[in-house]
Amino acid sequence: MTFNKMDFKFDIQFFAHKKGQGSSTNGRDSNPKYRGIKVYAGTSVTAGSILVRQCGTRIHPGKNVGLGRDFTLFALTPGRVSYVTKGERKFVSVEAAV
Amino acid sequence: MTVITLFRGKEGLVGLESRGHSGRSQKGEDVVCAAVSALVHALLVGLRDVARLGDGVECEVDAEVPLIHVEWPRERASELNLLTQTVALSLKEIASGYPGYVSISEVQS
Repeated sequence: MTFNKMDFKFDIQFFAHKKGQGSSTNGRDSNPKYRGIKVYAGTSVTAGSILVRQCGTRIHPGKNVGLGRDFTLFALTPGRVSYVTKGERKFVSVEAAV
Repeated sequence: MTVITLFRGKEGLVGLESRGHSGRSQKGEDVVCAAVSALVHALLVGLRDVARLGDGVECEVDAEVPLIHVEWPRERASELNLLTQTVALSLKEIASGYPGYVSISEVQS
């Protein structure tokens, strides 16, 4: 092809680096802890059943409910689960089966 | 770094090659690259549209490298000197102002 037919684009950034792909410093996360209420009100449970997994005492232990060292709430006796709010605090209790 | 090579024959400048990223900044923000690109493209425009060189010009433009290599007929070198020497001296000024980003050298051809 003769030079005067040559088609070149007048690019004043011809000798510049292409824009690099941005990189993010995000993208990390901890493993899921699967916390939350495991047994809802009105459900019958056996002794030892885990009622709530939580971080700190978001829900406090009520009647027939024990508090584990990791703040897990569990039933001390078989019966029916109930949640009550007293003032600022929420309590979970197990009404013993008669 | 952009490496510029000037090919000089006894008739005067007979060719120029400019290769590589200047590396001063990214596309769209690189002032050194803009200066070099503008001058080298101006040379091509001058040769093509002003001097109206047709055949006998060896010209390669590769944006991937990036590379611009152009050589013009020796018999027209002296007549083109005004254009080619202006571009060459301007590129030398840029190279002396930004030594880390542009290097220029002459090769007897």
